[in-house]
Amino acid sequence: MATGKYQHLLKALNIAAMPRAPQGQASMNMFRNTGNADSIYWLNGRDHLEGLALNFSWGFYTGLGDWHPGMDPHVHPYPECLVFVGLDPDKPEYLGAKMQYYLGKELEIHKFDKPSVIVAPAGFLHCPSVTLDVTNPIGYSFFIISLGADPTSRWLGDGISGEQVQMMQGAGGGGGRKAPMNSSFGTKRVHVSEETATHGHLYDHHIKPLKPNTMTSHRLTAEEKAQYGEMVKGGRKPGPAMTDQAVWMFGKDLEGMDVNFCWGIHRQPGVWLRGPGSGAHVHPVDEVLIFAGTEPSNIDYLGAEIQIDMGLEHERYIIEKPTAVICPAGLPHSPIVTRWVDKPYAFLLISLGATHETNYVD
Amino acid sequence: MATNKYEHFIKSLSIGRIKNKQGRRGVKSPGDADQKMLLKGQNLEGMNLHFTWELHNKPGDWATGRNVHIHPYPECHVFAGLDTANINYLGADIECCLGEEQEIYAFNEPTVVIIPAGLPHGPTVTKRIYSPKGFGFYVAAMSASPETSCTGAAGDKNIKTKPIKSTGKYAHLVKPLRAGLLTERGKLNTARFTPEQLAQREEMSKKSGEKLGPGNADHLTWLYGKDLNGLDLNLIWGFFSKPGIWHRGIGAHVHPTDEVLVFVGTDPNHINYLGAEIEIDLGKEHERYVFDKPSVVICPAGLPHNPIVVRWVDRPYAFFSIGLSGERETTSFD
Repeated sequence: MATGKYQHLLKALNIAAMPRAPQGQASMNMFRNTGNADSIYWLNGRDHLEGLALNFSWGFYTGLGDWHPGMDPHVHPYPECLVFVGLDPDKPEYLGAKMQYYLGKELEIHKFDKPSVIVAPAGFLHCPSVTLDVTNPIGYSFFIISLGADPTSRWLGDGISGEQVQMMQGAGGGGGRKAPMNSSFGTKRVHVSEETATHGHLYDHHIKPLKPNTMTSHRLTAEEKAQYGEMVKGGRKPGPAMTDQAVWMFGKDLEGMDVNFCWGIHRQPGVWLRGPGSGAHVHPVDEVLIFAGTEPSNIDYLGAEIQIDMGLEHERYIIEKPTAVICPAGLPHSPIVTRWVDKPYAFLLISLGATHETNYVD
Repeated sequence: MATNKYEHFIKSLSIGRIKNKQGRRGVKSPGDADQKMLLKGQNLEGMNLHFTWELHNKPGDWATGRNVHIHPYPECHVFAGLDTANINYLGADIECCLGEEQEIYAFNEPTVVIIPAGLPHGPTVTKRIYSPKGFGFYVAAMSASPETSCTGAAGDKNIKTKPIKSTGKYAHLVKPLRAGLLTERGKLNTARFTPEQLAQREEMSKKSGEKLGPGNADHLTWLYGKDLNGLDLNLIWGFFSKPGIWHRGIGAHVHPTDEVLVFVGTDPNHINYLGAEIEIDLGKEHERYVFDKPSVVICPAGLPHNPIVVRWVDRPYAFFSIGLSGERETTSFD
């Protein structure tokens, strides 16, 4: 079994629990009665991900309305993907919600009700994010992929109260803890209203639908094969644990961002990728593999047991809680084998390069 | 991955392949298996056991010219079907003779024939084959190597040379495998247990957290010493078709006696094809071994083994185990 040499690369998502609110008050109370998350974990390179230039979130959503009332639009010093996904394992193209999103300094309004990714380059004004309707009785999920180790936002909305500012600045919870988000506030504020919003198509290309497109869902074209490289060569093929619902977006699909990600809900046991050899591979860029549950009532429930090998020694680690596995560039990892599944679980791969170069080492 | 400390405990069955196209003494017995493996104690790290795995698909006498014979050790002949959807289907009519009287016992369902040490037996004849896949057969013999004395026409004058109708004298040595049916269509066969036993199982499962995993058997039968005329032997036969772990909630375990775990394919034309990839941990260090060919895993008494995780399955496979004790005492190791 594992000796623990790579244990520090496996992070339970709950290490990034939001600071607790004072007794008697719900945490996240800033966002109660909004469209924001019912439960969320947000891990960052600074505190949780071994210094990776990444922060990402995972959460469950059922509420209606603006996610950050009065605070938006906002900007970040790094690019990010905002990914809206459904929780129905049988309907990968069903979001179960209707969203309205403002993009750019023009506050261009976009609406969508399918799983989608919004690409926000560094410094690009975005939000408010408004949940217009939730049609799936269990809600939907959302994750952020932000290419910065230190979560940082500059809020530009003209509706931020002094109390909100105080709360966000003291969000570390005291005791020397850093705030989960470094917040600053623009001197020139933006007012969002029917009158200030626009309805153009300047930013249509910043919103992309998520449609199953991986090697499990269809026969790959030559171009797609080139994207997957060694993963689909030499007799390698999807194993029984792979899902046919996965979506893989590369940098070229994401306005040239230096990131590619894969998202899908998995439900079967077995190995993920079949092929010759022992299945360990490396990438020239950092990668994070995130295993999360799909039970909105309990964000700490994975519903499956998964093993992953790390290092050339094939140290095996067993995952049975929502977990992020950090695979620094050059570190051999895999195979992944799902031992059992009680409830379909979510998998998110975030790779910090526009393409997904893979080299098998054994 | 494995550092190979226990590699010698996993053997490909192909090391025991017998190419008997010509049969014994150059004569091809019509009912003999075209494809057969024999692993002896020397292949099994000195265990006091040898076993075969055979695929039969033709009617006729299994060993023309040998007929009645004896062994100085007990053995079990396990006739098993290859219909992975129905563990109770053999797909053949079989006759075997038992005792010096050569009483004929006929059966047409999966069956174990128990041969105590010294009991004259044979011939075995496949009268008819119904299954297009034929059927499987294994011998579990409690000796490191085969030792056979022929009797009858060539030897002991007391042995009849003409088989006779059964009087029932040896009927207790012929047991249908369904007597040990434990799992059918992925569900526990509760009829096998008394309400008290069921409650005890449930209680133990609650305590240990152990339950069947997705990779466990579709159909499985398990016979103990009490089912096998009191032999110090327990036998499993089962079909498996799904990936995943076999047992949830537990890690490795040990037994106080030796056992072998045998993984075989069900393609009647290719005895060297398993159709699945399986990993098993051996030793207290949980060294992991992965195989995708028919293989035997040798588990000497006291050697921690498991979990077993099935990585993929292309074709349902079969598994049998031979444990050298009448009961199967198991202790969780971690």
